[in-house]
Amino acid sequence: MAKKHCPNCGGALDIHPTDAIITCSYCGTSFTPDGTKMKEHFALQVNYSESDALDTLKAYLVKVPGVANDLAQQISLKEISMTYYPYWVYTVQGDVSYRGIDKKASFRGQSGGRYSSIHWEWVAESGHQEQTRQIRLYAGPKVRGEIVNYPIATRSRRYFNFEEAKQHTANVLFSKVSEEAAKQQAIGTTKNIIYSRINRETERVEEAKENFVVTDHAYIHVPIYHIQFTVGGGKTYEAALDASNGRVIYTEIPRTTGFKLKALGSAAFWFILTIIGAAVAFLSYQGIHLISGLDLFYPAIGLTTISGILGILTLYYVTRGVTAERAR
Amino acid sequence: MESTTKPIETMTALKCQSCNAPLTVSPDDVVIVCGYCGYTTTIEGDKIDNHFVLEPTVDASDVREKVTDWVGRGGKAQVTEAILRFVPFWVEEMHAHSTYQGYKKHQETEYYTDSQGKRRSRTKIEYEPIQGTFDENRSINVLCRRGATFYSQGELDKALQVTKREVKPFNYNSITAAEKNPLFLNSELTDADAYEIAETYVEDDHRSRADSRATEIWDCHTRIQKTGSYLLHVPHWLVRYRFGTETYRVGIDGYTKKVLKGEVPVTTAFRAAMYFVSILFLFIGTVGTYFVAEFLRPQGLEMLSFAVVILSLIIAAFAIRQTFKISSEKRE
Repeated sequence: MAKKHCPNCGGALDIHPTDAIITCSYCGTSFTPDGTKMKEHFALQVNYSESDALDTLKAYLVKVPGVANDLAQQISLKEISMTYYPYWVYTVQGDVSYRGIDKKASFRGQSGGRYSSIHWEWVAESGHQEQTRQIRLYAGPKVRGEIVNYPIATRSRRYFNFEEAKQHTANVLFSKVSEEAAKQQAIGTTKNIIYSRINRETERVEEAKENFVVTDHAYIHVPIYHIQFTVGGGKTYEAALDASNGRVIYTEIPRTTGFKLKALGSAAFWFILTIIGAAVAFLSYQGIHLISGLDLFYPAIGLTTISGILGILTLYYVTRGVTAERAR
Repeated sequence: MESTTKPIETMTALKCQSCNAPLTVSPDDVVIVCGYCGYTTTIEGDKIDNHFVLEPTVDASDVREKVTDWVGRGGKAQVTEAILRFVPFWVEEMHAHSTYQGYKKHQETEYYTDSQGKRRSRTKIEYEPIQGTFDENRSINVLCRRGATFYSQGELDKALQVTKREVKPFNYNSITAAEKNPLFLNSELTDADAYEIAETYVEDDHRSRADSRATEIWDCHTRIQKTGSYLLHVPHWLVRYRFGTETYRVGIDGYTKKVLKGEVPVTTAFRAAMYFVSILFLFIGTVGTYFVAEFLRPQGLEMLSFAVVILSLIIAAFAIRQTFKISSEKRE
């Protein structure tokens, strides 16, 4: 940790050596460690209040199997906080003219419309590829994958409104990725897309003239609610919700004890069958037949595999959380 | 602080050139439709004349009725909200010409009798040159949004590519006859952006069609010439309904009245049935395997009874997944 002074208001801020863009917690100005103020800093608007967010979460959870139908009455909020996560969004226009060699086939040994062998020769090839792509990068400190890969809707971005962040006592995270690094990464991604298209047409590129232009770029903070809740006291569950569109990014699921017991009972039932199947298969393999004259090897293998996998799936489905993809 | 906390007002201070109403504009918008009079301009202020629309064929009460019917379950679904949105597309018209070259590999097993009189097999490989051209006029609808922003957006995009529809010149008055407060989504793509996307799409389409005809295509060249373009607004209804204590969404194509995609409740009866299916296939995978193995034993092929195990496993695993799924989606 080091101290840095805001170039706008002079406030002292604790920063980490890896921070690339700092947002002043006193006045909301964003600046780089060398003290240059960012001209353009965007954020998504907070459209969901804390109680809206909680209602959305309840409406989502109540649809999940194993959750009590009267969850809305039982749920109690332990903590709700807002964090602004930083993302870079770059629009890159790439243009590559290339010269190289490509393979061309000739055929030998004709019979009918077909040939018995194929021979490759090399020919000169030239061409041109143009692609414009919007590249989105999560720029903050290490967090859960659901947030890193969250497909933010850049459409509703506005200029960063510090008053709004302050009003929600939000924690505004600093970017670990500088503007230049983000730009290079976005160009690199666009370049890969263009070259994968070129490589489809050309065996080897020998000479290329590249031109990459950033047509638009934005540093965007996305407000996300972190919610901790309990259901009728007991264990604490966590969830994250997009404060601008109300989407559930992830949530842990408060399944009822009754449901969990039933699920565990059913998984135990599957696993007992797995063991029985494995034992019978083993004995049959050794030539010991439980019922004389009946070779139970194959059905026992069937029993052990199917019930084993059903047991594993049951455990998986009743314990997993929910990611943005499923919560959409 | 002046540069970082510009008030939102400066972003929305644009006024409609035709009726002077304030316009709601986000920084990503490049084509703006006035919500009060329908006047459409680029962000630079140039009027867009080649603007068309698919006129909605259903109003809010039709949509409510439609959703209640579609959900079924004794009409217990209660529609709480129905929003009509006009979604922008650029329709890019072009002439595309491709030539491709490649080959198809044919592999055949031949049986023959060798000099010792034994039956033998050999694999014969032959190559067939493949070449051809695609020469066609294409009209590609490019959805003018960069990020996914509303429910069933992808389905609307797809539906539009496959059904031929009658477009009409954009006329604000005839639209407001069906819905008093239509919501227009602005376009985040310029005509040129959309053309580039359409071009890439057609190039890839020709390439994949050529690929499907051959083992390998070593050369595929496409020349594309733009012949025209227009902005098209397509009606889309987003409907929310309550079923018991739960809320679900349905997206409806405002032109064909079809449900693009909708969430439907998963009932306990359905879950119980699926659980029963998984047990049933465990039974089939065990007892069935026994009989299949016994049947195949005389031929020495009893190993093949594993196929019954694998098949039963796939069905049982699918049924378990259905048992615990959170919500179900249906298309019409």
